[in-house]
Amino acid sequence: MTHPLLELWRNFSQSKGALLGLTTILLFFGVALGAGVISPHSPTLVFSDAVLLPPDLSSEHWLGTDDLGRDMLSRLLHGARVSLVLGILIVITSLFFGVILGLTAGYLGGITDTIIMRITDVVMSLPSILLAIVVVSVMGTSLLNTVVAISIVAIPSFVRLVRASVIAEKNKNYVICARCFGASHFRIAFLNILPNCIAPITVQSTLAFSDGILNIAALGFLGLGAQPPTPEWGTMLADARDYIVSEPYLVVLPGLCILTVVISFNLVGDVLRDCLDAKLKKI
Amino acid sequence: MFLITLWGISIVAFSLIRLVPGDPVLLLLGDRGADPQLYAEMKEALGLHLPVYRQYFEFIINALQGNLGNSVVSRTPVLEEFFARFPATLELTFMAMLIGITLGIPLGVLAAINRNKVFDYSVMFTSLIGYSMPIFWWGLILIIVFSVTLGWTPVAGRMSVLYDIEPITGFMLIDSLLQAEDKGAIFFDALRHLALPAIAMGTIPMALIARITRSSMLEILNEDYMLTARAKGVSKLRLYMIHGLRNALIPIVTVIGLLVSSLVAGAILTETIFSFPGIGKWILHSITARDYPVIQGGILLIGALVIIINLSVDLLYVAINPRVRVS
Repeated sequence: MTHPLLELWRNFSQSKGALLGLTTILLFFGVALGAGVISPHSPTLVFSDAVLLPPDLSSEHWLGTDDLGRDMLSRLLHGARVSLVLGILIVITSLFFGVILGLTAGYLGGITDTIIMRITDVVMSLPSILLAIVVVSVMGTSLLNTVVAISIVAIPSFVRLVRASVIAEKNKNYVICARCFGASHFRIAFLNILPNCIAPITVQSTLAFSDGILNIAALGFLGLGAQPPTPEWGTMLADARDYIVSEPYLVVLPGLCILTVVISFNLVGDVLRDCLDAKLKKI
Repeated sequence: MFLITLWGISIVAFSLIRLVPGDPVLLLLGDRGADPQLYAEMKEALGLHLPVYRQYFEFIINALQGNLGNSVVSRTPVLEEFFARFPATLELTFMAMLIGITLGIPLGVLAAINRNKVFDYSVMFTSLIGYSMPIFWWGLILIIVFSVTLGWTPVAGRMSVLYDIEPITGFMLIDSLLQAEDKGAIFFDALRHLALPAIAMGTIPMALIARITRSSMLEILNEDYMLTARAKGVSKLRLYMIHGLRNALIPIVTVIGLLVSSLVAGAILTETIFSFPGIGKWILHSITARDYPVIQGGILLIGALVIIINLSVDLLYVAINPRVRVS
């Protein structure tokens, strides 16, 4: 009998794509952590005599400079930090509220369930980015408000998922058993049922991360997320729009970073789902 | 149930706007807000002198009568503004979905039939890129390639200034064909304007549809009746299209239904990039301009739209799935 996590890793590591995705994610996290050390310049340092330099690996600025003469490579590396940190915060926030609301709705049922699910329906029927835009414009643009807005948008899918898994679990024998032993509702919900719903929650967290990264960049692009001079990929794209004809690399590079991170997370999420689904089917 | 959701949206739309810090009256009047009489008049004109619950009540009563107030910026009724731009978004969304469905379904079917072969892997890989795509960046890349480098397509708008045609239906592709002269050229012009936004917006649906079609087909291909059909010598086309795809269609329609809300989100970004004069650009613009009646009414209308489309997908579901119809 091997440990379930070990078995999961064995299945997971059989997929080359998943390993590639995981490696890329770790790489980006490494970059995010070490951005201050590995980037050649400060992301906001202006080289006024080197404006709009094209990428050139033999020059001082490997990936060129932007319209203000800031080093592109340094900005992209620091951009990883902004996106990944915000992404983590978004997943933690939406996970926290999503689990509590979903668990409450699924476990208690009845009128509590109805109220929570109706609110979820309302949030879900509004396009995510629209809601995020409105929330940000209500609260003002800042990195923290970006996190709040995108978390609000991300909560409903967690609520639905957790609720569905709780409903599937709550009439199983171990729950009835726990109840017979006189366990409190709180204990049953959080210590007995929740650990058994961890598989779908893990998958959803991965996908929420990639969605979050996309939404952060979209808000930044619309000028409602990170504000200049913060090196954020979406904001950099928005700045680069004016130079789309003359300096297309300014547009291409930040987008490639976003795309790579999102692809990696989706790859890992997909394979994780396949592994965990197969495991669920086996039982 | 749908009415409850709609009611919820009305509360969200109403309260979000009122949570905005700052006084909308002062914002509108600017320096003139210092004049107390003018201030009071403006406040009354906006209905902001009433207590909040009365304001909400008025908003609902008026909304039910089809009156969502007037835009503060342009002074035209919100509903009128909405319907002036709605055909543009609908045309764009329709084309995007058309691209998504006509490419996504065949790709998914072919991938399933050629499971674990090079074609399958390349479809799956393309699809992975497709649904991971930041749509605003993809739009810009399309502009760089097709408009800037190749010069095939225009960068923005729905129609060249050269052809200033009077909107009849609001759908440029149809309107162009209704013109007395030059209809071919105008149609082609409208199509060229529509192509890039539609491709940008259709990419994510295409990727998701291809993916779900593939997995749904794979499940169907293992069914006993597929073996039976093959054994009795049904032609390949009939086997995959009639026996296979028709049964695989149910999850596909579900996914298409789920895409609706994200399509509207996609429309906001796509229209911004391509300066496409539709609902998305309108609402985004009104948010930056703090045009409260438009934001409030726009959110309500978009929410209602999503609900209506979801409802029709449910009906479509019944139509293609006899099992639901019987029960």
